[in-house]
Amino acid sequence: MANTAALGWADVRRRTQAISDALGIWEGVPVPVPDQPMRLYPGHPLEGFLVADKPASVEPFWTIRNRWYCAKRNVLVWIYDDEHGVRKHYIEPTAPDRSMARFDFWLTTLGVSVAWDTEAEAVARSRLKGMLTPYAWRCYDLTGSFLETSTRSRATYLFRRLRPTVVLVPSKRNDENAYMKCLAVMCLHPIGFYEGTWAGVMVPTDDVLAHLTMVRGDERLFWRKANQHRPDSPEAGL
Amino acid sequence: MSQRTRRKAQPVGSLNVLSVGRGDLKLVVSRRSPRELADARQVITDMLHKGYAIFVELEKGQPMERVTAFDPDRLEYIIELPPAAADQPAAQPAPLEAAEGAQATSGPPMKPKRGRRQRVPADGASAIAVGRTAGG
Repeated sequence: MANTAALGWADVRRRTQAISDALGIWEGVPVPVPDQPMRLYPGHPLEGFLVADKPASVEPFWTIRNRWYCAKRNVLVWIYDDEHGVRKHYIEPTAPDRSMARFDFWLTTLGVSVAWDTEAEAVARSRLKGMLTPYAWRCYDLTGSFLETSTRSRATYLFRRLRPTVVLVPSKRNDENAYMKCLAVMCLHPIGFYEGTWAGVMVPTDDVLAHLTMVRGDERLFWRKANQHRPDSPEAGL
Repeated sequence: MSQRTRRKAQPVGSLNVLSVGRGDLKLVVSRRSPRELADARQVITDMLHKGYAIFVELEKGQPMERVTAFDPDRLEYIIELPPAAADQPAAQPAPLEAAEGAQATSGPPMKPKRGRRQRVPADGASAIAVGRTAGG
C-alpha cells in the first residue's frame, strides 16, 4: 500500500535538496511555496517551472502591463489588458503612510519562512561571523543589522537581515561632523526571491553574505545588479 | 633503517558556495590527487561559465577581489587589481559620486585604464561563490 502520509515542509526541503544534489546544482533549487509567486534570475533553468506569470489574484486572461504608486493620491495604478485585449486601468487605494502594505510584506515574509532550513541559516550565520569584527557580529546577532564603510567608495552600508541594504553618505564631504543621508536602498537576492516579500529563496543570512561579499569584492557589480527602491516604498523596509 | 619518504604538505584551497538548502556548500580545491584536481578545474570553470561571481580573499582582513578569469591548466584565479593612483585619469566617478549626479570636469569622460592582473593559486586561496542574482 502506498504511503499516503502528507508531506511536511521538512520533507519538501529535504527532497528539494536531494534534487539539487542529484543534478549537481551547487546553488540549490528554490523551494516553491503554494500561492506565493517567485521571481528567479532571467534564464534560470527552472524559471518556466517555478515562476508564475502573474499573481494568483489576477484573472488568468488579464495581462498586467504596468503598475506604479501615485504619491499624490496615495493609490496604486494598474494598467492591464483584459480578456478581449482592451487596455484598462484600475485604481487601488492604499493607506496614506503605506503602513498596511509594509504589514503585508511582513506577514507574507513570515509565511514563506517555511521554505528555509534552520540548519542552513546556522551555517550561514557561522560564515558571516567569521567575516565580521566582533562588534559588527554583536550588532548583527542582537539587531539583525550592522554597518560597514567601503574602503573604495567610502560609502557606508547598513546591511540588514530580511531587508534591503541602505547606503549612507555624509551630507558634506570631508566633514566628520556632517550628518549621514540615505543615498539609496539596494535590494538583491542570489537566485531569486518571493514576490511581495523581503524573502529570498536562500536563508536570510545568505542574502546578507551575498550583499557583503559583493560590496567588498566588486562594489560596482553590486550597484549594477541590485534593484533600487524609494526609501518610502514598502519594498525598502524603512 | 629504511628511508622514509616524506610528502610535502599539499596546499588546500576552499571555495564556499552560497546554497539554498545548506547555507554554505564548501568545495575543496586541491591537487592532492588527479581526481581532485580535475574536479576543481571543472567546477570553477563551470561556475564562471554559468555566471557565478567568485570572490577571493587575498589576505585576511583585506578587501576581497572578484575573479575575472580562471586558468585551469595552472589552477589559478585571475583577478584585476585597480591600477595605481598615478595611472588613473582624473575625475572617475565612483558609484557614490555617480549616484549623486556629480558634474564631470570639462571634456569627455575618459575611460579608466585597466588594472593590473594578478594570478592567485586556487589551491591556496579562500574564495566565496555567489550565484546569479535577481533584484528584489
